[in-house]
Amino acid sequence: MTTPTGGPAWTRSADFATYGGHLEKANFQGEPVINPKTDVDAGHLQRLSADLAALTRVAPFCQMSFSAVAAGSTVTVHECRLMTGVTAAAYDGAAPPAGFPGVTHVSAQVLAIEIGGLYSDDYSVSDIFEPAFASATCTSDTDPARAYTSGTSTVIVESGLTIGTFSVWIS
Amino acid sequence: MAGFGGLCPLPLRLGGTRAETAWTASDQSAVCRDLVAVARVLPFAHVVTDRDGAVLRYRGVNGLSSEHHPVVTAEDVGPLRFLHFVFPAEWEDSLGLRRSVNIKTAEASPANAAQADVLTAEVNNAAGRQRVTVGSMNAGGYVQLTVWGSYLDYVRIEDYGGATDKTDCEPEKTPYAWNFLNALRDARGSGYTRERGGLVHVENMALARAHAASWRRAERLACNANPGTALEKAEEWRQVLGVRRRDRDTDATLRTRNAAKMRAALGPTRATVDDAVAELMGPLYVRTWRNYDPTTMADDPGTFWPGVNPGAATRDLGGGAWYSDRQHVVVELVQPAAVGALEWQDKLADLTELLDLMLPATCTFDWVVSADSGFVLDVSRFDEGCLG
Repeated sequence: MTTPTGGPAWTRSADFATYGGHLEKANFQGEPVINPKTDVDAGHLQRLSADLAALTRVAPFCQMSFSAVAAGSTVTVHECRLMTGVTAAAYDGAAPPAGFPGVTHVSAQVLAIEIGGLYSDDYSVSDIFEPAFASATCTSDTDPARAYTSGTSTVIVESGLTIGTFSVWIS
Repeated sequence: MAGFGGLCPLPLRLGGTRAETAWTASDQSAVCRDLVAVARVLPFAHVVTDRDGAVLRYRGVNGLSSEHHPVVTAEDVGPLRFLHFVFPAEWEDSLGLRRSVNIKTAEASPANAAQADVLTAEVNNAAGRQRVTVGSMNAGGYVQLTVWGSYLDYVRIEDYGGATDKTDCEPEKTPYAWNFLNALRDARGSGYTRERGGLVHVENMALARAHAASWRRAERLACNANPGTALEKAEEWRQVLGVRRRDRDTDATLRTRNAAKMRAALGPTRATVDDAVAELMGPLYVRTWRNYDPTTMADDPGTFWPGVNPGAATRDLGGGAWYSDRQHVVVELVQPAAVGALEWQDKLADLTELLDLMLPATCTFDWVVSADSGFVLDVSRFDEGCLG
């Protein structure tokens, strides 16, 4: 089993060296590409490494949508996309499937997404995710929603109305 | 083959059949495609500040540390507090290249419980500054700003070695050096050890690598002798073939233009024209439409001459109406969203030049983006019905 270099993407620790980039990386004996239709130059691998690291820093960890009806009632998560996987079906926010965040009412018009914690990537390498950025919109409500981090594991979503379908991204 | 190391050093040669060791042209193309796709939509940066503009958290394409943060200043206008975020116009990436920032879109949202108001973000890049202004901050409020727009909006598959005609490497399916190493070990006979390690192995390796390098050089020479595979000599081919150079040409686009031009020397047969157009346009090419099939000699409903198949009297200039669409060639293309206006215009200019060169003077030609839904007028597609 191969273990990738560096931590999972959500640790935001990757730099171009994580993907095999190196400032001195060059073709063997400094010679050019043999056939540009079939070969990949060292410079292209450098560029790929640097850009992938840059994009990994800003990619959201999670994008999800859920509906909340009233305080204390069930929150239905329609879809949740994590860096670690995508839900196959809607789920009850109070009983999330393993590896997916729970969403519950804190009070009327206030919901909490419990998302911080240990996650595993596709190579079974685990590391902590701590939410640092979040944003929310309420799609069936004219009153705007907002989302912000609370502590190291929770994202709070607030809306002027309790009833609505929310769309949230977390990074 | 694929891989690095002593026996198959860089450049990486695409191909192979075993998933454990191969990285094929299709695999590499998928990486290029998806990386470019993701680069186009991901933001440039996220930043959270307090009401006074102190940066509390920052993550950007340009980095994470304080040197990469925007400069944030606070301004009070009446009862309102505005924050001005000025991003650096460029930065030096990890490879030492200067990279541009061009903030185009911004989204602001509250970032703590104290900030309840609606926040607005306005991009204002006047005076060469990459500035975003966020208004309406509450006492104790935090704001989160997400911005989009950087050099990554315009990355191309060519930046990562991708090309629409990338194929697996046939000559070096197994590393040249590996073949030479085995041959040398066999050639030495039983009097020499075949163990890996020791002086005999070192000498075999050195000789194998030297032979492999010479074979690669020979292959490189052959590739540079062909405009379709030349890299180092692409510029010479361009000059010989009279292909115009554009500043924005990539190695791959120049190579395809050279190759298409070279095909013109083969003469204007249907197959040659089609192959040249396909080579030039790549995945944008669908097919070539012609109104007459010389292999069947079937009656052409678009050809008229007096006595046999008279044309419309309204088109008679005297002596009967003669006209035909046999010599009209129509190239059907597609324009994916990923192909920007500039690249599209470049491609069409190249196509026009090529067809003008290849087709006989009696031939006319045109291009369409769809064979059955009208044509492109200026920058929008009009259905013929709209004009009828």
